[in-house]
Amino acid sequence: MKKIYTEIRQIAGPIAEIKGTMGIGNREIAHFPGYGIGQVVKLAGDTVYIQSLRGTLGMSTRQPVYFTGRPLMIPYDSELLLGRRFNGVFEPIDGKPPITSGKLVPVIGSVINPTVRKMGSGYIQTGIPGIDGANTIVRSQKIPIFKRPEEDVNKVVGRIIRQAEVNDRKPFVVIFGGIGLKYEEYLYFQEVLNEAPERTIMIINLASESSIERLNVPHICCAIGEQLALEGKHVFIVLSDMLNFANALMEVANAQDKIPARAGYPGDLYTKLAQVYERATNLGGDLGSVTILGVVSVPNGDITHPVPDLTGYITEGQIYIEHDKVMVLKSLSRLKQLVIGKETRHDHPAIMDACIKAYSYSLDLKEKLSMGLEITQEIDKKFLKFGDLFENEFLPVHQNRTMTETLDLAWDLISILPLEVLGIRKEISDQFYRRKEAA
Amino acid sequence: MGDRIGTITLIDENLVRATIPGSVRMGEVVYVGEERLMGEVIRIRPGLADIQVYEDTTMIRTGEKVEFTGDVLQVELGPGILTEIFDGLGNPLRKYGLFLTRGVHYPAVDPEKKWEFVPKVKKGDVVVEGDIIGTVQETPLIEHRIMVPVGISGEILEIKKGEFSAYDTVAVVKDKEGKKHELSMVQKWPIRTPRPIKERLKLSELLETRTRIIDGFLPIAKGGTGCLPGAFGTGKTVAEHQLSRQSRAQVVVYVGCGERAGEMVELITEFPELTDPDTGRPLIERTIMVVNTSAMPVSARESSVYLGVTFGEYFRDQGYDVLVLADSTSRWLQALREMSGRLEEIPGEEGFPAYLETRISSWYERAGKVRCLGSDERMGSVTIIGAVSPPGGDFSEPVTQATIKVTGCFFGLSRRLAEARIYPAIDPLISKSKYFEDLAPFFAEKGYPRWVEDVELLKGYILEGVRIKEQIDILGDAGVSDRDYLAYQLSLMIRDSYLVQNFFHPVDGATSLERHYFMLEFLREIIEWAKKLETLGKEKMREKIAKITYELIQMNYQKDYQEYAEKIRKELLKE
Repeated sequence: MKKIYTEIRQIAGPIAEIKGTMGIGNREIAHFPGYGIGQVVKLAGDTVYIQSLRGTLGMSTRQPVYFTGRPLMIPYDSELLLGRRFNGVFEPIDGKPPITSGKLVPVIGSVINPTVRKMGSGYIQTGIPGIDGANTIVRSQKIPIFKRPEEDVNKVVGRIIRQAEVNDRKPFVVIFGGIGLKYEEYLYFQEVLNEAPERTIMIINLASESSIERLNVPHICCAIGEQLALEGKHVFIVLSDMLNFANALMEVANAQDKIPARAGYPGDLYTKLAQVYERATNLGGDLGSVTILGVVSVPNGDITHPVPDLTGYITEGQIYIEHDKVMVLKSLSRLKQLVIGKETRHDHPAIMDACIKAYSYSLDLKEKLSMGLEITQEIDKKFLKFGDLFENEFLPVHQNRTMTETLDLAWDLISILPLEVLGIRKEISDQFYRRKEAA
Repeated sequence: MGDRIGTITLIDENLVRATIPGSVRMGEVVYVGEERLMGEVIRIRPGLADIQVYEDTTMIRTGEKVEFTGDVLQVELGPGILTEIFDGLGNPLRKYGLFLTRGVHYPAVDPEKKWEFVPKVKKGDVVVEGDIIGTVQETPLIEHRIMVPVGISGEILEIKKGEFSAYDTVAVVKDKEGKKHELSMVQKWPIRTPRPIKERLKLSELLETRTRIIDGFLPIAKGGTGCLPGAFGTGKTVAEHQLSRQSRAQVVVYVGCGERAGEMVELITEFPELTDPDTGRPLIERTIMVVNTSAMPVSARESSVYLGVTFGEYFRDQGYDVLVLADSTSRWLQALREMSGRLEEIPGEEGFPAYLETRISSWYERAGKVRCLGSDERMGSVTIIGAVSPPGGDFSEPVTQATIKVTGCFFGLSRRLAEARIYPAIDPLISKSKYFEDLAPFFAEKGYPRWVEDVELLKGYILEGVRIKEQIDILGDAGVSDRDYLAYQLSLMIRDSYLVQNFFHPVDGATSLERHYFMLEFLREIIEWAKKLETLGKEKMREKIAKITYELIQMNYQKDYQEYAEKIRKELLKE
């Protein structure tokens, strides 16, 4: 049923109100010919509130509207999707024809039953020691990259997309969701993804495009990812920048006169972010997994800002990147203990633990130095030396090492410290520790 | 009831407004639309009811019907709820497939399953509400005691024995008016109403958690309440999991409220495999899980915490000590805020409704040690520990403040400790237990005469250590006296070997009271011994204490701790 209405009663921000209709469904998709699509966000009596995904600038009160009778759905066919590029309303932007065959899947689907999910297993190797060694990403994990707005992490994200590998035989697909990307960023990521079209899909919303369209990008990525996982593939979804997603939520909430909870963001920001990140899942058996890495700009570097704060509560750890280095002390992978030492070499937990403790102590000493205190004890001087080595060789992001190379590097560095201060179990240190004198 | 049908006039996310068919009750359960989504009346306007819908409202239309049931939100209680995993409404989740389907509901107590009912009364006996009429061995760990429901008393006309489904009649009671009541093994209870008791008792017994910093520094009493606030990454969930695994409660109810599904999967996967050290039985046999993860409908977060505590009270009424854990209560209260906003109520602080504090305190007030209904004078307890997720880790926000105010234990998690990888990151400087003094006689009776004294000694060092560290940070090692430097090193030793505990290690993760007391006494002995070190100079002092600390940490991983302590004594303490 496609009933056409041509009387728009009110327009506020991206929301258009139509009167005199019954039988429209909540979240139903509407068409504004010439404007693209909109989505029902509220129904009151015979008034329908529609959020126009392309915005409302220039929209006339005589603008026709018709309804599709269903929520937002996309045609899914894995064969046709791989290597393709789409925008936030799933229109192709690679010059190829739209996808018309395949089954229709809702963009915001049903919730996966928590009792059928499986524990995370296996890992994604990024080639970056500060991530793989110290903050191993487990398949099915959801984890953000926190960075200051001025820090350019595109090159790191590009590197991760290029270098990512799984320690499993099942096929591996990377889906990149660009949320509010600048044009040159778009060109860069396109280049990166074009290097391996057979394993990449790209959903892009540009900074110049409607901010409302941004809201769909992560969900489209997840809807595709879920279907691929059901076909037995491991899916790695990389979303950048989730701050833009949250800001679009704020815009829509304000247009609807919703009472803000904190710093202008709506009270359901937590839920809305969770609806994206919670779609990371391990289905187990013959099925695959969905892993989500979300880049989040941290306004002014303040992690108590609502977006990084709520993200931190939802995700399973966080990776901080500052000055092209992984800030290991602030970073954390909550799931790493599921795989390290089990699916990676058995010394992994012990060596990384020792490195982090020693590095943390070296920073304490550095602080003392900077306050003009003298470091007199010999052992402390060795710790300082280790700290510098670790920071300059292990933590920089622009590297590409296998997991084994990462762990060997860590042993190389720590061996300038005497074994007694490391607290490493004997059976492990016997095998890997090699004493060196600090130069 | 055909006349109890209304019509939808408004849909705003999970708020639905409908016309009222005659009279309506506050809290009445309704079924919304053709798909029969479950909802609850939360506000009544002239001719209209505001309904909180517990399921996703996509494609629900105005003009669709709303069916009013006349009942408030209830749950079935009976054998089979242990080991089960429910959503926030009491639907057993394992009945669903890969995805959760809307509008599909199952009773909390499985009607198919058969149970061996053993009668405990005989024909002609007179029973009152709360009396146990029979038992069912629900799991090898827990005997499910079938009680006369609240409001019924009289003479047993008939009592059965043998195998029945939970909903079959197992007894018939005739009351004073001569009315006959058929009793099954199932009773229904409205989850927002506390279950009645005879009397609330003073709290005097420790709930052993096997977590050192809690049992030692911040003990919680059976029937007490505790809150666990902490910024993200400070280990709230790990601490709640630890409590659910190691606490010596007879029944544990774990409510995952608006949190990560992955964490619940962890519990679901590990509980059937982890065994209780006392009985050797899988932990799942004494556990109920309520799972309403962050991606599941928001409004059912609210009901999930009430559902959890109702399960807890039901087992308390049978005479058990129950621990109810909720992670995280902040998500429940955020759900409350969302709904309050949609109802256009005037917001209080940070957008929370004015009744925030009332809701929090009345929920925690359902904890307690009680004399149960029934004539056998049995006692039971519900202990509640709720995690709180303060935005930005700021404890001054309304939910944290209201919760600290009403709970007996405040386990404050600190980002500073977590970033230094000191776990559990419960900060002894800010945390507090109101039960510490009341429990002193308990430790003495258990045969640990110096428990409180020892704990005070260690606490003293921890406080002192912080003061000295501040000085060292400004003046350097040379700026403090050798005596202070030694005290500082000892405070680090206490922190790293006693307060720090590896929850993931089978031995270190569970410190029994006996072992705990041994550690306290051993630490006292080491502190005594260390007084000799004062003359050695700072570098030597630090080296010696570091060695002992290392050995104490090793000792934490040994089953035979006494033997290891002897080894430390011989090798390190003899000089």
